[in-house]
Amino acid sequence: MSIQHRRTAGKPYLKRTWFDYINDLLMLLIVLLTVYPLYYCAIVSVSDGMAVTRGEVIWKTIGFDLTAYKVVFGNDQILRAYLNTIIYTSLGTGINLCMTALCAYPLSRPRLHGRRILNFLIMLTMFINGGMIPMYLQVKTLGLLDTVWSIVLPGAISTYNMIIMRTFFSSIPDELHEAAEIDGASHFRIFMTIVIPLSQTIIATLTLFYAVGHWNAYLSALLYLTDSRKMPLQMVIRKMVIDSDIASMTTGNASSASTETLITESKLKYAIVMISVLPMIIVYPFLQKYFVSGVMIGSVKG
Amino acid sequence: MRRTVSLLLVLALLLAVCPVYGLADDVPVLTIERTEHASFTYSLTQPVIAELEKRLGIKIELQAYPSSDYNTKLKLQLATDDLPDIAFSTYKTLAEYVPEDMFINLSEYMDQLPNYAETLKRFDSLTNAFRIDGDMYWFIMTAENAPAYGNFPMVREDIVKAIGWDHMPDNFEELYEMLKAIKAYDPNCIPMSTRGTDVLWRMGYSFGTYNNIYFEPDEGRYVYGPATERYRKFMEYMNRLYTEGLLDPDFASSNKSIWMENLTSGKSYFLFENGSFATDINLVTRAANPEARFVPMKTLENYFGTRRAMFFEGSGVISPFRNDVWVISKTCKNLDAALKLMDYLYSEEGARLCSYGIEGENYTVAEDGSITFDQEKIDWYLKNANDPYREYCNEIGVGCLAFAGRFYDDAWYEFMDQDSRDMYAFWLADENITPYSYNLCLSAEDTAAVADLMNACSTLVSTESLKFIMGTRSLDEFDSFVAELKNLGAETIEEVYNKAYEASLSK
Repeated sequence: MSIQHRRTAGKPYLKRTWFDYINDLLMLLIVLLTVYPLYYCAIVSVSDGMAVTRGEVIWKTIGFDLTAYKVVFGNDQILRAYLNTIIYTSLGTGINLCMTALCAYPLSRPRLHGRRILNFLIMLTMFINGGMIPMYLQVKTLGLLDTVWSIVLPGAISTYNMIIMRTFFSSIPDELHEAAEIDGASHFRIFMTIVIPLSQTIIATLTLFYAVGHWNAYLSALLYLTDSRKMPLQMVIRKMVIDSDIASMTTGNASSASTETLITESKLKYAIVMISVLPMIIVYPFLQKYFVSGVMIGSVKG
Repeated sequence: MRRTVSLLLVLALLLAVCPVYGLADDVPVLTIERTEHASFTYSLTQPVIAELEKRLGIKIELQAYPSSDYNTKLKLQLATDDLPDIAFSTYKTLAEYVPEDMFINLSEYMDQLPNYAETLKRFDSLTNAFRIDGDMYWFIMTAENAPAYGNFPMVREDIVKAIGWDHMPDNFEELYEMLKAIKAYDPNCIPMSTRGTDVLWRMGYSFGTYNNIYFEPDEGRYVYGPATERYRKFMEYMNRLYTEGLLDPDFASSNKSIWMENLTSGKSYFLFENGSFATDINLVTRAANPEARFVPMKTLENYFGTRRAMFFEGSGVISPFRNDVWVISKTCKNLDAALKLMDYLYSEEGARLCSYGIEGENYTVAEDGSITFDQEKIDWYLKNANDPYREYCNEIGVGCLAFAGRFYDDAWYEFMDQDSRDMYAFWLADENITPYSYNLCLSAEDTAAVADLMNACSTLVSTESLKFIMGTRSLDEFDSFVAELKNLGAETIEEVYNKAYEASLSK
């Protein structure tokens, strides 16, 4: 509640103390620390290559040059990988949400027989899992290797997220269920017409969790995919950002031969970073209000 | 809503359980995997791959992974018996995976590999180190006619003039004098800048030592560098540079971009590094000041009376062998086709295909045998590409980043300006530059025996070296440092290496 509000509410004016000022300053500093790396990426990616190499770009852009972006968008592999990531993220998140909701709902019902043992078994997977090689063999035997399903199906339900959702479902008043049952609604109908519409907050929160997870995932792609045309963006980014540094340790640096084409590695890296984080930055503010209320789930209710 | 959701779910599950059947075909299919470079993308549209398929009547399927994650994938494939027919890595990595059980022993198939056998014969004595118990498990990539790159000292020409020196330093003492003179001339500068602590091996070798186990040419055997008197001298020297402000005070935490920044912004004037960076650095420094140019020095004489600098392995000067090798998996179903394909890469015809591309399209051969490249294409890449040579190679599908066994790297010269060509010629003419280590392939058993010891020693060496250089540990304690190293097994490492080395010589 802002000071303005407090005044109009007729409460005595609260004087800002030193603590408030220092607090504000500290928060500003934290914001700066978080925003600066991203800002730095942005200015380097559009600055003049020479100035970047000389290390002159620190606070503001020097020169203006979009060649790094031209290179990135001119690269078929990056564009294809981008499209793949969008497919994996949207399909994967869709499957995640369906599966998580379908699992969480029955477990949230108090009348389910064997609920405790089911909960226990599901919880167990959070602490004990098969590991990389058994997972790989499983995916292979199911014939999923090198298909989109190997990316989106193995992690269809995250136990942690499922528990969050189950807790939310449990908090929906039982009276609503009873009323619906009296009216003759089936379990599925109750789930679809009562529970889901009341759970938009948690769905939005989990959408964000799952989507960010898919967007940043590369390990499952590395393990289960073999066709480079199916690789997601993160694999390409890894290749360009990490490998180019390693490669130049002991091999020849086949370099640019003219100043016109000098795009430093860092420029290219940061351009890719900018492009890859942009969608998440754009989506985040829209989901944030749900996210904030989602975080409150489980806290004390007034 | 309900219907759509259930329909989607059913559809998703149906698709998921649908196996994908490949079409039966008589043409043998070979799957090949390797690491992929940032400027090089595998694609079946590369003419060389299509040409290989046509010439040999096979079908190639390529898999490529970022090199930072490649070992994870490789381990997984080996553990699950799922390795592609032909796989790529360094021989040192592959030697750890019990080659006898995993890969085809090529020594048993040499009659089917006439071209590869011929290549090995040409470099006979050098191949011993690649054998395990006398057997060869890999196709070693070889580079010929390659510009030679390695670790060399370089200095800004205009600064040397400005401080009034009419000659370049001839030995490490003179180098120190020169750096001191530079500091006196420009007190705000950091005369020498590094890309981190790798200066310990980059410069260390020229200095007459190394920061790990290495082949010491002066002694003709493997030596654990840091446990020697020579390393003490090296630490003294570096400590002198550090305390007098001649070495970047932050060198330990430096990285490539900081290093480049120092050299290009006129903050630093000397480097001991991979010489092939000079072109990029000069490009930036000369844009601001046409006189500002890094030039190579002759190999410096060290305090032990020798002159040496390292060419990187496989840079094609002394040994054409790279660390990179190909193996055929024991699970390969088309072994004959795989052997035929790999052997073809080592034939003259195959080598030309994998180095230059298709004759008549990418290059032409004159009557005297000289090769002319497609100049128009080269010019286009020079003008438009970020990484011209590699991107040119990428379009055709040639070179060390491609699917190649034996290749020529002379097309690279076409992409250099005169300045760089002169530099490479300068290094080539310097007879003191040698490969830095004798290739040695330890057996899986030996590797396992020394792995932990090497780790423990390296950790101690990297922390204590910094302390010695920065003066936080007195050099009077060097003897106790050597004792600590011996305690951790430095002598055992030497023993294992020398035994393996002698065994490789006797075969």
